[in-house]
Amino acid sequence: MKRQIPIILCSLLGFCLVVRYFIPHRLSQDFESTVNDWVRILAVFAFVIGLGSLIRVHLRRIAMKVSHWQYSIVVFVGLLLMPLAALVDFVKTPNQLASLPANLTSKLQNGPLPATVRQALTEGGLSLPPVVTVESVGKRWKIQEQRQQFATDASSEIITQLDQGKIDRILRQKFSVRDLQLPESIEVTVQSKGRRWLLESGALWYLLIYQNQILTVSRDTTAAYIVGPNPVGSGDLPVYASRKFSKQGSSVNWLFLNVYVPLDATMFSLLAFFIASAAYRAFRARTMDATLLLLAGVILMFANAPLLANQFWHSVFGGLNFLPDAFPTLVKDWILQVPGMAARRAIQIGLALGAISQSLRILLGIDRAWMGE
Amino acid sequence: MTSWAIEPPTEVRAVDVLSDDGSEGIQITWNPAIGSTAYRILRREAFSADEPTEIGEIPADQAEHLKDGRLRYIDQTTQIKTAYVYQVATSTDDSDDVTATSEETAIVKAVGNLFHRKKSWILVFIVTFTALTLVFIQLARSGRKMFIRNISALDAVEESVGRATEMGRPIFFIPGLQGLDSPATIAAINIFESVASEAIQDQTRMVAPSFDPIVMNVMQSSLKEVCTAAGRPDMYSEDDVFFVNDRQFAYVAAVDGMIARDKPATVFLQGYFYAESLILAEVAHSIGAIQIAGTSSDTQLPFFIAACDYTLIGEELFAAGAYIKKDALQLGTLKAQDLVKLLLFGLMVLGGFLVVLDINWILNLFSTTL
Amino acid sequence: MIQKLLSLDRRWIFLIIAVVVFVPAILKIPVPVSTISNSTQQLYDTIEGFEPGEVVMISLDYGPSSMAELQPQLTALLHHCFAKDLRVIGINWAVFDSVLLGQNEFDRVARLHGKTYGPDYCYLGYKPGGLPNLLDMGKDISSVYPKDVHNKSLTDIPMMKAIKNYDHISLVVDLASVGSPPFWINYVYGRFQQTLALGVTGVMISELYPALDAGQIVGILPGLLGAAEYEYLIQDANYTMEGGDGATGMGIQSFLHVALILIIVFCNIAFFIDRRNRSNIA
Repeated sequence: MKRQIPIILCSLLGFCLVVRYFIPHRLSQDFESTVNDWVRILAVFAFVIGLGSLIRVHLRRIAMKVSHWQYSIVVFVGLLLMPLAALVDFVKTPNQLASLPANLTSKLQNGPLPATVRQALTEGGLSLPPVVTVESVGKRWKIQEQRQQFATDASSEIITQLDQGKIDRILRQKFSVRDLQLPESIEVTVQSKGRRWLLESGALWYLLIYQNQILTVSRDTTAAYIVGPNPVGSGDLPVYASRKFSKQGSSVNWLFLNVYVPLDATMFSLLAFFIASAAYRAFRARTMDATLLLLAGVILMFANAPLLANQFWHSVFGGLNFLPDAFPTLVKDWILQVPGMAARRAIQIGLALGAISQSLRILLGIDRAWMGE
Repeated sequence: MTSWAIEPPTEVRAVDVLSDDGSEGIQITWNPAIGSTAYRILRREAFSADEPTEIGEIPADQAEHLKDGRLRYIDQTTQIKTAYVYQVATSTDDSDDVTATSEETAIVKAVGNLFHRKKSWILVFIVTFTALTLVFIQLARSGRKMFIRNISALDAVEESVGRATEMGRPIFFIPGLQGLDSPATIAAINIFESVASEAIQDQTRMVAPSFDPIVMNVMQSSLKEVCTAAGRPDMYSEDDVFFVNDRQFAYVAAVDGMIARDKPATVFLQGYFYAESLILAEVAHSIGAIQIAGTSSDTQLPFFIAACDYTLIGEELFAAGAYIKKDALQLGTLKAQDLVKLLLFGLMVLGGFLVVLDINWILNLFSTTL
Repeated sequence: MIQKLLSLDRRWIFLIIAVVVFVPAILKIPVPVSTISNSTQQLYDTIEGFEPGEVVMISLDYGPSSMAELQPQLTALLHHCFAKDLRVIGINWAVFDSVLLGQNEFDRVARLHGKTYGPDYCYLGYKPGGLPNLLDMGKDISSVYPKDVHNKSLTDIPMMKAIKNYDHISLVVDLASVGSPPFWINYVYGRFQQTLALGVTGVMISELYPALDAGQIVGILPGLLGAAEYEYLIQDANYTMEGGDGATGMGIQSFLHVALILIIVFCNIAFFIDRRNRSNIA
């Protein structure tokens, strides 16, 4: 009985889901949604099982000092490092930059920042950009700079300098007049879409567009300040830099970008080396089949390297006018889409039928491997 | 300017859109009226005294023409189970707003349907496949012999287990990177069972690092059962089938490390694999292990064929469980599968022939839009 | 001697590959493409045909490991969409590793085109759940993603007010290094007839040609080559001047392929000499 119940459940639910596929009625869609919700809930418990196994196995390895037990310590370091970093990020209170006097808190409302509030914050040591707006976010208020845009005449000298990735003194002056001092650290990062430049410094950026002799400058930022909430109920409200937008600074992201990303990419990049060593062993014209595989492989590699397919091909065979311009690419596409595809379709149809047959075996209760039997 | 009175659209019919849950609305069709440059669709609730309201207007040249020359409009603004009647009115470019309105249609409701008509052929296919499977299972039950050709990769299992026993090294079994909802993983677990029962009899350790916690659980209970059945419950250790990680390359790094340190005599790579296939296979090759691979991922098959000693190609993976266990019922299902394949092959040849003759109905059987 | 060559220690091959990869990577030798694969051109033409304001959803189903191949595709696609004033939704359906990578790239390219978060683009991130999420987005995106990555409710994001489900999305592009494309094809195209395109790693491309032939997808970007081709197309149309990683990648790929072809030719010459020697001895 202990075994029959799961098999009956599996078959019953499986057949229901097959039948559901043919019924467009709303009730049948609701049934599928409910099943989907359950799948999502159950998936969470799988993680708990996995974590339990991981901890148990490695604790035992360390305790019994089996060979290479030291690697198990590395597992625990990795396992704990990320959650700890997240915890640190969560607990770490952002630096309070200023405070807003209690008598001014009632002035905060969605829209432009009231002058009195601005004055109080500036006196408190916070240098705010010229145009900012206030937005209510839960119990807090967010003060964020609005995009500003202005047009200015640009000399050809400035454009040349921007093209060369330099920031000119004259440009700095032009910006200062508009009360938009460029930070010292700013650099022209990219030139894009005709005459477009992006100047970036941290969360702040300037987009410069040159059109009809006019240089349009827009200044924008993701930086924001959060006001409140008041921990004691009444009194002055604290003002912080927004944590959400300072994502570059958090320890989790630092670990992600500087540890996880390079490690992951390194593992994958091993493939290039292994492909070469496997090709050296396997790509030998031993038989007719192997020779065909070898030829197809070489043609594909040739066509997928622009240096060979474009530059080399044009310089050597460019004179042969009867051949189309993109001959290697055409041959590659033909190999992939005609003989390659034929073989692949045969395998895919076989696989699909195999998978359906396997599913039927499970639904009919003949194959019980899924319950470890 | 004088306008000639134009005839209203005739034979206006409204029907529920089929094969939907009711939300796709109601389809209105009518015969075009000569001289009309646009049509206005009017609707009112059937059991109310309200005046009809306009729900849409389409220029005559943009209206959808059906094969029989009639025009079609689909009203998607309907409420489910509400009864409506429709009218179609003509309109012209003339400044005098001369229109002619058709008669009202019969009462119609948008309702959810119980069968998706465009899936009829899929249903026929599934019913045929299931019926054939049941027939062959019955034949197998009645004792009929089922022939299955040799699969060299599976014949090599015994030899590879023997080699591990001689060398006194473990066998690694890597069940792919998909969960239990993948047929390839279930096929891999089938193979695991068979390999494990041979290995346990020879007192050789099986190690299975897993990518998915649920797969790990199933394999643990499978190994436990195998050990008990072989009368060697002492051979079972929970630490041999364990969860590693569910990140692709972190898993590969860990497993490659274990292969390099433990130097297994044989490595089984069975299940569904992605780009890590060759990284695992090449590391196993570098320590001199025999590799027996099998995957339902056709992009990774070439890598396994190039780098491994034996490879189960495509559907051989799914047939492996039945092949090794020599289970008559499962072999019966393989026979049904072969017959369906033959049937499909016949349809394809016939279809290719008919399409050359410009007879295209057979393509509809394999339509990809529903 | 020949025998030695045939069973050459693979570390020598690794050394050759390392040199061939590192040198062009350090010198940043760009090799531009000039011929465009059909599948790339088809995707480009589809996006080119859109009116300003139409919506493109890009799903980043790849991790940092495949970033080298797929991130340049994302960059090129974003340039094209933003330059054409399309609105873009970013999600991570299958893989959560790349949320930050995607978010940063969306922000960066959007800045270049003067686009604002909210009205012009948004990033919804990752939600666990797998296939049910794909299906549920066909009915209501906000049932899967009530909030975006910044924890902002979808009802507060201006562009999402008019976008309820796939019906309001002109094109979905799945950039994938994992097995996600069949799911998008079978369920999102199959069930909802959503216009779909793919950007995949070089290894996966041939598996997906049948879907392209069957009209289930409107285009595929084949690996790094696809990125380089797309960069060429958008630069040719003057949508961006930014030299992408695709062209530099093509430099590395070209040298690597030359080396691999030479290695294979070399190994076969050795193989034939060896065979002739053996038959002479026999």
